[in-house]
Amino acid sequence: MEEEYETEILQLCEEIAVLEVEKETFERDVSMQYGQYDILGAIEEDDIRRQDISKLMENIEKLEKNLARQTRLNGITLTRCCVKTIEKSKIKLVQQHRLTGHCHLCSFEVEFEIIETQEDDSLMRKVMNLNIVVDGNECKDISSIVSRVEETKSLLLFFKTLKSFCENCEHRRKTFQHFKEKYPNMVTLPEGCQSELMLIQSPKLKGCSMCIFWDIDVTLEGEIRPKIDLLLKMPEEVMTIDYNIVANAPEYFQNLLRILGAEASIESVIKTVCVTD
Amino acid sequence: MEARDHNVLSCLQRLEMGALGFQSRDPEEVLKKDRLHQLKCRALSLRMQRNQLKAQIQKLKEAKAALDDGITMDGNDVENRVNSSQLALPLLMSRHTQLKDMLRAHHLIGGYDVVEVDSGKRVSFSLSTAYEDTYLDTYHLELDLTRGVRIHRHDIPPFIPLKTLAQENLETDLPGFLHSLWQHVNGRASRQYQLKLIKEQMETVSVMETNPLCSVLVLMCKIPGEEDTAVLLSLLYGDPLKALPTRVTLESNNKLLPDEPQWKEVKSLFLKTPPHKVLLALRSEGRIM
Repeated sequence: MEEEYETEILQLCEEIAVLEVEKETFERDVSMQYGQYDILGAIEEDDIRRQDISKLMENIEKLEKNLARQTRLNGITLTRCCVKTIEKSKIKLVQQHRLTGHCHLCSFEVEFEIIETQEDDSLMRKVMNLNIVVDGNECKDISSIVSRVEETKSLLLFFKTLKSFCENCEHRRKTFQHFKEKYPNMVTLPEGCQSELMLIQSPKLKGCSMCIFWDIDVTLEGEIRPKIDLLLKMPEEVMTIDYNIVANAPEYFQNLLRILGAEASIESVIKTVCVTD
Repeated sequence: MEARDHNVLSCLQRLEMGALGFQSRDPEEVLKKDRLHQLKCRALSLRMQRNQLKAQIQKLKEAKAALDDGITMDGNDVENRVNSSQLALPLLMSRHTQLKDMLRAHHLIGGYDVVEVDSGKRVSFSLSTAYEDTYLDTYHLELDLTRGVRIHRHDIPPFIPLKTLAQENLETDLPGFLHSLWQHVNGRASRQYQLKLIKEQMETVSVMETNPLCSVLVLMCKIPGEEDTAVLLSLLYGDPLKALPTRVTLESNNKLLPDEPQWKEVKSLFLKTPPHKVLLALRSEGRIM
């Protein structure tokens, strides 16, 4: 008698596990095609009074608040998330993920497989088959690290690095934009505000120009190294008088950077050519 | 109060046993019937769960078919409004799963899993670590937000300079603080994992010295074919954020060995490639045991 029940219980557990995966698959199919619906807003008054529906709506609101919090603090916005369960058992879970989203001005589409195995008392989680596509003006600079990350399947490192890189780019863009607006006659961004180049030219000092190169380098280990350089171009006459101005300017600027930081250093350089009559 | 409850409880138990047809008071017999009763209840509840899942799946199938046919929940479309209650529950369930998927995705890509505790007075963060394709330990931090920002409790190991990092920018730049902390914790977790791989994959290599921060690693390797020759490799990890050493020293009881060009090359290899990979390559080339 006991054995009969025990067998039935085992069978039921297995059946339930399969049904749960089936249910999730259907739910994900519906979300994929009809997920953009404003579901909460469309529910009828009558239906809201049903206990199961109102409880579910309450849970959904909590999850949406939670998701907004994660998005804000993680600095990464996910616009689409497709999950497919390949295998699920008590000791193993294999899922395919396709995430679409953006971090500041850089958009990405990432595909990967996660394998989770229950080993004794701990959970082992690994990444397989990582594929990354990034798109954005600055993103050509990170193509080598994208290849490296795909090779080593370093999913976590990729996103941490992407976030740091995009924050640095955003900082540079805002700084360049700020100076372009503050000194419209002198500052030009010949390649746009998302590039590394800012040009400072005074209309009164013909032939003199200063180039700020703000390079954001990413090492293969995911380290972000911003490097700001100043290059001076002077007309012939000035060069013959004092060649050293041009030669020493880059080093002088590096010293300034160390003491004042990026914005203050660039501002002081701009001010040197802000000659009033 | 307690003694009385105990009596009430045992009274109810006796009544229940009587109702279930338990005539005897023989403990073993009672236990056996009790277990059978438990199994019966469990089977019943699982059957209910299974049936509920089947019904939910059916509703989802119907909802999807209706949506594919163009039925919507648009309030203005009177004809189709009749179907809204048919769609409501399945659509809500789908949205619920979609949100759970997105939150899990955030966790997998290294999100902080921010959770508000105690109605917003405290916030907890998780720091996931990983080395290449393998996820490692997760660390936790709880901040008290009632008077400024203070660390309430955490499970960050003591050799991570938590206090110093907190003094730098905990109150002024929380995302920056969390990122720096993560870099420290992840750096150490990566080095520790590399050491684990060395121990697992290179049993013939002896680990002579290591430390909790995994900033020092001294390994001894034997040379095949030369019984008495051993090589001592010292890897110094000067940067706590990095998983690669900043200095490599090579010593041997064969005084000439460290100056040989192939071993000098090995030294520079350790600066660029993870140690377990270098050792595996050396072993496959027959340079070490």
